[in-house]
Amino acid sequence: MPNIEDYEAMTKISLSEDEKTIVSGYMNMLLDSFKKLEDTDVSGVVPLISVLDVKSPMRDDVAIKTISREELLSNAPEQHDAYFQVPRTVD
Amino acid sequence: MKYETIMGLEVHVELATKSKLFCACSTEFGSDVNENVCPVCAGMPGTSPMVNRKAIELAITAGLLTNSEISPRITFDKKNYFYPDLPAGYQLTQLFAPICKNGWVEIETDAGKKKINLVQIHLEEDAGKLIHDDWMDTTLIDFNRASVPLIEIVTRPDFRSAEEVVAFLEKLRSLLSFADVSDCKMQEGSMRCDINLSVREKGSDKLGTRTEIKNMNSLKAIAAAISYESQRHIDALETGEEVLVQETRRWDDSIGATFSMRGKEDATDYRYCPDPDIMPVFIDDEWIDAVRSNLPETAQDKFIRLTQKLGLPEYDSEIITRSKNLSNIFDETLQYYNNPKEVANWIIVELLSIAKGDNKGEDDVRIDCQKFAKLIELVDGRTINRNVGKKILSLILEEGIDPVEYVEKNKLGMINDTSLISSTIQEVLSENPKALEEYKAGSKKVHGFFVGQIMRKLGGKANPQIINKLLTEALKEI
Repeated sequence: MPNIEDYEAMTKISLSEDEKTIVSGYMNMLLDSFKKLEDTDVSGVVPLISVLDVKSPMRDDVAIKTISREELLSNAPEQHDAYFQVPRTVD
Repeated sequence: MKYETIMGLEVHVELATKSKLFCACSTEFGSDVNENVCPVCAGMPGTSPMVNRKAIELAITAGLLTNSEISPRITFDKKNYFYPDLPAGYQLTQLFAPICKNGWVEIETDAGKKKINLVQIHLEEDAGKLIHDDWMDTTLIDFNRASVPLIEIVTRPDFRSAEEVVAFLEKLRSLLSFADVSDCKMQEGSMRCDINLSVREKGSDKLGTRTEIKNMNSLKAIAAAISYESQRHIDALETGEEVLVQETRRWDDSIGATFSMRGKEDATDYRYCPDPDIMPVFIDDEWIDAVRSNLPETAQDKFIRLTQKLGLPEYDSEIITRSKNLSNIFDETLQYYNNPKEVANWIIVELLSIAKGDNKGEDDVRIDCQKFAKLIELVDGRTINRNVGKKILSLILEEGIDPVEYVEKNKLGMINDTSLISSTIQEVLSENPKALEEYKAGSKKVHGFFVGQIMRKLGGKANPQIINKLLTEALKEI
């Protein structure tokens, strides 16, 4: 069972001690609500991916260029030599 | 040996489609930066992914070749993570309903045959390429590779040695490249693998601490990394100086060691959930049968055909069926000149040695097979001799010349005129009295010297068999 620090790490959001208490309260309420689902027998029920009862349409494997690189990069806050540029991020 | 190493693999293979997994952008390798990106693979809001049918088919092919069960209904899930190599903030992959399950691949090593079991094969999108710029303290992103279709082949922890891992990867490469599922070029990253490794005392049924070595892309490095990492585990178990932790590690080929990258995430960190924009894809038996009936010849089938039907030696057949490219060259050349033994010889002896000189691998040799066939026919029919043939082969590769036209234009046809060869022999013998004396004194080496001199006078074009025959006769008479 993840604790509040795990959620902080997952969402990359830091919380103060006060905030942790408040958020923990909400999280527990939520989790308690979901626990009700555990009482339901779902054996044999296929997980619902969509409320629409349809098959996925598929494309043929044809390569098409739809937009130019200039258009693609036009919304980028920062770019450099046709690359998107972001703060240094090393895994 | 007191310890045993236990390994499982995750092998990523880029599928040989023309377009990406969920959009129509080209998958071409080596395009200009960010040329093959559209609003869908750039993760723009309001866009909707649409599945590439060919990618599904190639994954089914991979499943059939690995004796897997093909799932009748597959779905795609979002794997969320904080890293800018995919612009949507998540990777589309398959967690809950992967396309193939429970397959197996048989490998052969010096220790014998062994079955490697597969947990599953799932489809997913590749990520973009990041370049970390130390100078500007920024990261630059090229999304050309983002959303190129991949399959990830996940094995059970069935490997006990580096030899088994290498044999498995080679078998996989052969199966998938012969069926055109992927070109499986490790050096271009279209096949790469993660190794999960742990060490335990032999006989124990408890697994040791597991580490994962990420993104290995050469068989040599894989063997070296396994040897290093298992020794590190054994040392830790023996001395207790280092405590093993479950983590992801990176192999540094230049240093020859693995280094810690990060602690291993739990699956919950990725917040997997089905992508509501992609409806389930249904795969019926009809579709699977259609793929099965179109499966091309495997390397193993081809080896049998070459040795049994075409009568080639096992050695030749082994070399030709090791590479999809070579075996294509072989088949196509054979269509123009049906002499399997000669065609195999020219590929193995001449074509590969030129390729090696140019630092090209078996998969990178390209030749016009029709011209190649004509050349082999010219040599085989004794129109030109083998040495002239070798020179022409280089010219076909470099300049694309037509061998028949070239031989006619440069008058390279082999000299079979016995009277011309005879008179040249007499000339050479009279011009080299000293060598002739040596011959009479019993030196057989001089024979070769005379052949060289005669060939030179005839511009390298004479029929070597006729020279040999006439020279031997001439020398007997002396």
